[in-house]
Amino acid sequence: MIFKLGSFLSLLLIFWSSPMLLADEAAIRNTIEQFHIVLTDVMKSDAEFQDRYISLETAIDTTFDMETVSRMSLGTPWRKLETDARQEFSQLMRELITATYADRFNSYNEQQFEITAVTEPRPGRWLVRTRLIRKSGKPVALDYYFKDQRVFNVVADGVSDLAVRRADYTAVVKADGFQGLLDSVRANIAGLRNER
Amino acid sequence: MNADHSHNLLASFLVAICLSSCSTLQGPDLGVYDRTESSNRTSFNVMEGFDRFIGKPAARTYQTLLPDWAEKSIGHFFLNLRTVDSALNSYLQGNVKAGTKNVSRFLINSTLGVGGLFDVASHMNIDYHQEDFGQTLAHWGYTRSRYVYFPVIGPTTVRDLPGDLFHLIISPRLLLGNGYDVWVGSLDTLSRRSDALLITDARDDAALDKYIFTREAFNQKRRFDILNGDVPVDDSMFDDLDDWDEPEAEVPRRDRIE
Repeated sequence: MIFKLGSFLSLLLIFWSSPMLLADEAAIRNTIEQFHIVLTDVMKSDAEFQDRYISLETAIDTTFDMETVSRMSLGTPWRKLETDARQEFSQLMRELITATYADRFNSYNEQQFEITAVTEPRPGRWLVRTRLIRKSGKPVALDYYFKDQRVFNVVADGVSDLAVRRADYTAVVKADGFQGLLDSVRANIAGLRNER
Repeated sequence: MNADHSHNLLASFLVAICLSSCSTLQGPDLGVYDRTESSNRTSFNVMEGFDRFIGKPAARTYQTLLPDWAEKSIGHFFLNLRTVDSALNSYLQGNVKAGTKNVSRFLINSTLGVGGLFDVASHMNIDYHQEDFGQTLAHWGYTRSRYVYFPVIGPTTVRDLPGDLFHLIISPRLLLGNGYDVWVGSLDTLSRRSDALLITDARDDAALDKYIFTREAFNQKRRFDILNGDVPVDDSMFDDLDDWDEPEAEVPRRDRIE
């Protein structure tokens, strides 16, 4: 009797969880599809840097988990930060990432995005593998790492944005302290804005 | 140079590589293996200075002066010369399919593509598979090697350096002979620097410590190339995430950063 009840509950769980899994997968896939649509529109718009920046802000906010990006970019020093300093750093990361996308996706040359796989390597941790297909040259592999419903890392042709940034920031914090890091990130953002 | 002498040189070269590989396999299992950071940084800074005042301006001038089609043709020509090296290393890795594709590319582009000036093979869906001797060594087990920043070559490892020198400097000379003189070599260098402008500009916009940024990005990209793009899911990224989701240890107030 207990065995039958157990089997029944297992079956119920499978039937109940499968649509949930599919719903999650669809939501994850949709997040990236929408992000790619915005990137493509921005490239096609032929707009100035500041207009591209404004167009991207909402998409960056809905796609990226900026708190996770910030704390993992900073590493151990994050734990020692007060709430205000954490918010300040997260805001800078948001500006930097938006400015970087606005800078890089500045012209359209028949680029196309393609999702090649959506997997859930761990519960609640998703990986979306995509390709940026260009008119000439090899396609660029873009992998999006998700925590729950939002992205915390992008890996382009094997180069992890988060891992490179953490190594870079760790070296700067070690040499110039947290304030030195903030100043350097601000200078980078200003550089991206001013040179356009 | 007679044949015996050539064989002796080749044997010495291979022995040197084996010795260096044995000595560098002793490195740590995790993290970037950069035991000579100080001298690497010096080399990096010197080359960056040279690049800032000579390399980059020359590459930008080259891009401005040459029409796109001419730039592409010059790039195709030198890539075609290096396809032979890629074909050889594909075979050395046991990848017959990639090796044959590279040989086909070389033959098609050298003939129908007018000495490699036009990339006819890509239009026939015969893609280029870039392989070098460092990738071959990595394929056969020499996976861990010391990072070095070598003048002219740039970021590399002890394992990759001989292959880089061969791929960049010797392989075009083997096919062109004396035709690969200082002028043709300079054009080749200029073409490659011009191709890399997009990447180095992106790095300059993003990096705070350019040396660290270059080293990290190189190591990861190199791994990607060695695995032919088939990189497994980065579990360490998820491990880090899980660690962060654990309750935070109490930080004494005196240690907090405000």
